[in-house]
Amino acid sequence: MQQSLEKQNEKEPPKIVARGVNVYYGEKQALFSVGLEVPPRRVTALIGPSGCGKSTFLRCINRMNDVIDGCRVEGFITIDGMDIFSLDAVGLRARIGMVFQKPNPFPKSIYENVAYGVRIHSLAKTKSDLDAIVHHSLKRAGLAREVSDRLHDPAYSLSGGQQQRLCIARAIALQPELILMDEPCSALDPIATARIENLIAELSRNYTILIVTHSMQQAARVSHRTVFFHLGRVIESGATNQIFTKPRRKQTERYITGRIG
Amino acid sequence: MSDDPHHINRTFDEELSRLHDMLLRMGSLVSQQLDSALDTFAITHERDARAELMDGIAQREKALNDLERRVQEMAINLAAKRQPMASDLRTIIVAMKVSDAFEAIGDHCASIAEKGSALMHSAYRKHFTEIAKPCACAAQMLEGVVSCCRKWDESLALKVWQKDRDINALHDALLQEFSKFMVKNPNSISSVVDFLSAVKYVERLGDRLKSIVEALYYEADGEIFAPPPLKPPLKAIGKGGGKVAINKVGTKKSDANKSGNRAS
Repeated sequence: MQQSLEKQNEKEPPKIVARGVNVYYGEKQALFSVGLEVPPRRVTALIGPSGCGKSTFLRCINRMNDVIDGCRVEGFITIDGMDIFSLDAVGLRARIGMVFQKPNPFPKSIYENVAYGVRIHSLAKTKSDLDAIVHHSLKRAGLAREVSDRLHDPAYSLSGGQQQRLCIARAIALQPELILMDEPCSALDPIATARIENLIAELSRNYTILIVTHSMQQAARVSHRTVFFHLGRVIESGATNQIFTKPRRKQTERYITGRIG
Repeated sequence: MSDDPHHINRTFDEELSRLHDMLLRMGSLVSQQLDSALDTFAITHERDARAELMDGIAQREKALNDLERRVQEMAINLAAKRQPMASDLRTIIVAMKVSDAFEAIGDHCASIAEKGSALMHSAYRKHFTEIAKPCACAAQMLEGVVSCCRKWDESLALKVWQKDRDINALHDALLQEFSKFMVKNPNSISSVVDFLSAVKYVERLGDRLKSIVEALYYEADGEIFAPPPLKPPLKAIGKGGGKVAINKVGTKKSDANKSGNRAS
C-alpha cells in the first residue's frame, strides 16, 4: 500500500521545482545554484549544519526572503509549474502554510487564531462555515479534544506543544497546497515532538510538506525524502531510507555520522 | 569501520574501536579453538597433553561467550545512546551478527573437540585424521575472515565466501566414503557416526564463516550481499595427493563435484 502510494506520487509531476537558485544577503552568497524537485503529498526533510542554507531555501519558496533587506534571489522556482516570482507574493503565501521554530500564536483566543486567516481570505460564507473550518482544522491538528471546552481562552494559555499544533491548525485552515516547517519541534519536549511528528505523517496524505530540521533522527522518522545541504549547496537528495543507511556522497556520510558539523 | 575522519564526538570513535577490537579478539580465539579441535584428532597424545588441550578449549569457549555478551551489550548501548546512521549503523549491526557467528563457531569447535576426544581410543582412529582436510579449508576461511574484519578486502572476501563450497564438497565426499566404510566394517559404526558428526560441525562452521563474510560485505558496501556466479568447487577428493584415508573405497571426481554443487 505504502509502496504503491510511493510509486503513484513518483509518477506525478513534482510539486516544487527549483533550478539554479542563488541567494545573496548583500555581498554574501548563501545559496549556490540549488536545484531540487519536491514530490507532491510527501514529506521532504532538509538537513545540514547551521548556516548551510536550508532555511534560506525554505524561505525562498514562500518568498519570505523578499522582505529581508539586502536579500536577492536568483533562479527559477515553480509550484505546480507556476513561476513563483510571477505570482503576487501575498496570494502565494496564502497557498503555503508555514510553521516556525517557536510557536507564534496571535495574542487572541484559540478560536480566533484559527478563524483569523479564514476571515481575511473570505474562505467562510457564514458563521457556521467558519465554526466548521475551525473545528475541522483543530481536529486535523490533533488539538480539538484538548481545547473543545476552552476555545475562547487565550492561545497563550496552551502548552508549547499545543501552541505549535494550534499554529499548524491555523496554517491548514487556509487549505494550503504545501506546508513549510522550519524546525517545528526544536522548542518542544519529546512527547509534544512525537505528537507533531504523528501529525506530520497524517498531514502528508494530503499536503506536500517541507521540513527543516537539525535532528537527523527526526528527518529519518518523518520524511520520505531527504535533502542534504552543505555550505549553500545541495550535496545529495534521495529517499530517506537510502540517505540514512547508504548515502551516495562522502560529505553526506560524514555529516550524518557526526564527522563534520 | 569507516575510513572517514574521526567523529566530532571522540568517545564514539573510542567505543567503536573497542567494539572492533573485541571482534578481532574473538576471531583470534576462534582460530585457536579450531587448531585445538583438530589437534584432538591427532593420533598420539599424552594423557596430560590431552587434558591441557581440552582445558584450553573450555577456557577459550568461556572467553568467547563472555566477549559475545560484551559485544552485544555494547552494540545495544551504542545504538540506544548514539542513534548511529549510515556506516556507523552498519558497523554496529554487523558487530552483533559477527560476534554471534564467532561464538557459534567456537561452540562448533568445542563440539568437534568433544568428538575427537571421544574417539581417542577408537580402533579406527587413524582414518579420522581425514577431518584435517575440511578443517584446513575452514582455517583458510577463518584467516580470510579475520583479515577482512581487520581491513575490508572485497576480492579476498569473495574468495573466502566461495571456499565454503569446498568444505561442503569435502563433507559430502567424506560422508559417502565413510558410509561405505561402515557397510564394510559394521563394528566401526559407532565411531564413524561420531566422526561424521564432527565433520558436520566443520561444515556448519563453514556456513557461519560464510555468513560473516556476507555481513562484512554489507558493512562495507551498504548492500545486502548478492551471491556472485560460482566457480566449480574444489576437486580435492580422489585427486593427486588428496585421497581420503580409506582410499580402498575411493571416490569418483564426478561424485565430489555433484555433491559440491549444492553449496550456497
